[in-house]
Amino acid sequence: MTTTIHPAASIHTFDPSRPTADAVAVRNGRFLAVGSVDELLRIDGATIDGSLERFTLIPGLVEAHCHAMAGGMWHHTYCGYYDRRGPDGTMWPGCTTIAEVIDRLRDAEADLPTPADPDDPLLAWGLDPIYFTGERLVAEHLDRVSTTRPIFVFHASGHLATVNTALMATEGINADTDVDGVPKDGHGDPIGELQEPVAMALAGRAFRKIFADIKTDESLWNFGNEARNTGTTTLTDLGNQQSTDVAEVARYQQVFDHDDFPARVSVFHMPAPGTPDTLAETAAAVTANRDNSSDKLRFGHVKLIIDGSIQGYTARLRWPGYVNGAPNGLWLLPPEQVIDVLRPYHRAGLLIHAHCNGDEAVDVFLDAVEGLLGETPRVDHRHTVQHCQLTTPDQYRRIAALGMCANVFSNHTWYWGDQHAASTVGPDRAGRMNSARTALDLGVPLSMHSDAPITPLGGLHVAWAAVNRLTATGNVLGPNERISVDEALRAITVGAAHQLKMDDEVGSISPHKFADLAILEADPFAVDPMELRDVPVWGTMLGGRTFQAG
Amino acid sequence: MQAHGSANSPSPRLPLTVVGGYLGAGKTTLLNALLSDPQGQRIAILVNDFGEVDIDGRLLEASSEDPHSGKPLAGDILTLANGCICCSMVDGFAETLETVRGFADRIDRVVVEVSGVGDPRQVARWGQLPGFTPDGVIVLVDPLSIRARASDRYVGETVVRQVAGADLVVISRTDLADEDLLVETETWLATTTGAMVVRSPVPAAVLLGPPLRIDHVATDNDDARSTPPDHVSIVRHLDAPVSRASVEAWMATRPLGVARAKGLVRIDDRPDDRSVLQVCGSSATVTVDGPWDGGDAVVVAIALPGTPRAGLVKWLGLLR
Ligand SMILES: Nc1nc2c(ncn2[C@@H]2O[C@H](COP(=O)(O)OP(=O)(O)OP(=O)(O)O)[C@@H](O)[C@H]2O)c(=O)[nH]1
Ligand SMILES: [Mg+2]
Ligand SMILES: [Zn+2]
Repeated sequence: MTTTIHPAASIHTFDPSRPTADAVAVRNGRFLAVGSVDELLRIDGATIDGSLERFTLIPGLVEAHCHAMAGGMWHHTYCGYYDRRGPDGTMWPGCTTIAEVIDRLRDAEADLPTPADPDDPLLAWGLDPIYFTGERLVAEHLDRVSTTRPIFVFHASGHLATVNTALMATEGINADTDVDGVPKDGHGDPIGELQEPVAMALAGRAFRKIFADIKTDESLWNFGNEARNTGTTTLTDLGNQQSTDVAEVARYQQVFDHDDFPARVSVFHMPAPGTPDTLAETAAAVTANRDNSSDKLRFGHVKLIIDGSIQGYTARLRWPGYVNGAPNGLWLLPPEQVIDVLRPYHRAGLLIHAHCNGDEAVDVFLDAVEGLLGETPRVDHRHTVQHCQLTTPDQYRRIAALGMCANVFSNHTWYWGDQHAASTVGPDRAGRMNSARTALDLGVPLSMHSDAPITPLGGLHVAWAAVNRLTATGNVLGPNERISVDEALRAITVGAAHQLKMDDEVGSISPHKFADLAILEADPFAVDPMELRDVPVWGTMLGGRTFQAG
Repeated sequence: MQAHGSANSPSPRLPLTVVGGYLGAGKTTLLNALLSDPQGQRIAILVNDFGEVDIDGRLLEASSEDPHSGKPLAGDILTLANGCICCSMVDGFAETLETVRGFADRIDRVVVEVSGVGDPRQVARWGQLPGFTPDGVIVLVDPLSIRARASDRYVGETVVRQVAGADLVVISRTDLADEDLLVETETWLATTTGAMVVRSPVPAAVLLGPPLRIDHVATDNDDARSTPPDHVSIVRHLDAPVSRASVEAWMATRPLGVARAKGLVRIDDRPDDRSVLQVCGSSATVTVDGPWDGGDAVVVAIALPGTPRAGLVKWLGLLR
């Protein structure tokens, strides 16, 4: 029985009994004690490991809303606007002009076998043309990369793709193509833009390959490697429709239970709607699936989606809706059926997380939970409103009163804050979005998330966004909703662990909990809050074993 | 029996009809009615709510290796007793349509049931993919609840959007609604949608129109064989290409009462191609579905009971 003492430059435990310490003692993959080195040396047989001496240790970060597919896009070439670090640690500088996109694709093309195989398209992702002044990426640009290899560039919005002439020739997209969302030039020829899923599906093989590659084991490993690189030790796969299938369980066990996989993953089941009978069967299957859980892999919770997204104008908003006059958004579940859909899961004692971007969707979810608690009272259920982007103070008071939690999408302020102010909800409501300050002040258990792959995985960026509320053009959006570094870091550790019902095991540096750490090269409490997202991450400790960032 | 000289090679494009309407409006009931009287057409039913396929158990093929006993799980493809197939889509529309395209030699058309909060007009866009052709958006309206739904705080816009996007609105539960309510519903619909409005029960030939494979329909210049009683139907054979202008005039001047029309014709500016004319309720489209392969061109129309035949004859006569 070995006990290892890790002294560190500073340690923030987020455990109220002992908020700071000089060292942690680890035994059997768990924290045995924290304290001064002298105190810890009194433990029988304890030895010192000085390898973390120069680092700041905080609890391993907990991401309570991301998706296992987040690792899947890295099979393909990144050409987004922002700098982004790949799972292997490579830093991909942002492509801020069309010329840079072309250069990036040329480099990728040079790595592919020649002659070009029409069945092996060059796929790229993340293109974010909103900051390309006036220019639009079209086939002509991509033809400068290759005239023989099909090229498919998936835009960050997920609603658009640009393809080259070789792809259009292979897939038969031409002047005769009579499909909405295939814009044409003055001669009637398609320009290479494919708008919305129907048009994108015309890209056939390339379109299918993007999604097929998401389902590979390599994509799951990438997911873990990005966790390691960002100091994250607990991940979620928030919504997997197949998670109760034997084959899917086996696939996840093979990767996530592997000793070298550097994170824990809580997999939420996303049920298909059905009759009360089939929903009850699903609830039973989710409950039974808990038996397949391990220290690293958890099954047994449920995720549902109630509305769409604000930037896609598909979230359901209370009056006054979208400021640009767009019609109100879409229901993914019929509002009147939400209570019936949730009932079997609530009755089975399961934890329910529901995606509600708009405030009207929140109303529907809260009404359903209130109704269910009237029928079947439960304590400490921790049903959680996910995204919570436009949630108002009256709703936060209800969330608290109903014993629910909120997980807010803080990264939105940085990635879409300017667009929200300009066109979705206007400057006033944009400044109220993801109102972490209000949630905390009204006593709501809070977490914050990246929703990777929607925004990049990384708790420090999420915390930075909530602390500073800066937009990409440098405006502070809603300064009254800013929270402190301490509050933000608690939300992405113990706050997130609480919503996953894992706060007895992870989320703080406390005796008994798993020895999961984010190992940082600077103290996040010592840096300028504006630099919180730049604190370098050395890596993580998971269950006592260190994993160095790529 | 095959029509002499008609363009009778199988269409390379499967017509895709979308059936929408709010929760409980009667979508599945209508599909079941279609499946029990499929007009000689082999129909693939797709259910687009990621949910249970609620097809009448009697229509399911009794098969020992089918463990589902009428309660299939999402993602399954089932064979129905009349040779149709049924499939609920879990992997997304693109993949499901890819699968269905693989059955193209075994089916004549695709009918999609959209979820109660889905937008059937949006779903219909999938019919533009290669291998398919959009063939109508039919929206069910329950007269007992539609007005309350349309002003509901949460689903009002959703319901109005469904109705507004329809080509053909079918009022269900006509057995439970009195005449006043039906008229009131029709009046409201007239201000809400440009779609043609009909009361259930609606014959399958009106819902689906005449089959694209012209060998299934009439061989003479008179009534189509599958015309439901009371409805008026008319067929016209054309031996020469028609002008683009006449097609446009034909589409723009439909007589009241025309619920469905379909034609396989040659148009003068694309004489080597087979152009498909389609009318479903308020919408009329012309698409090209492949090279012309000889034979007569033909147009078939079905109109509601009481529609004057002379007007229809004159209308088809516009094509020249
Ligand atoms: N009396 C009467 N009942 C009908 C009629 N059409 C449907 N129903 C009944 O209404 C209920 C709902 O009909 P469905 O056909 O399942 O409706 P749906 O639109 O498919 O419903 P969802 O798929 O749940 O949105 C069933 O019990 C039907 O039997 C009708 O014309 N008359
Ligand atoms: Mg139904
Ligand atoms: Zn998500």
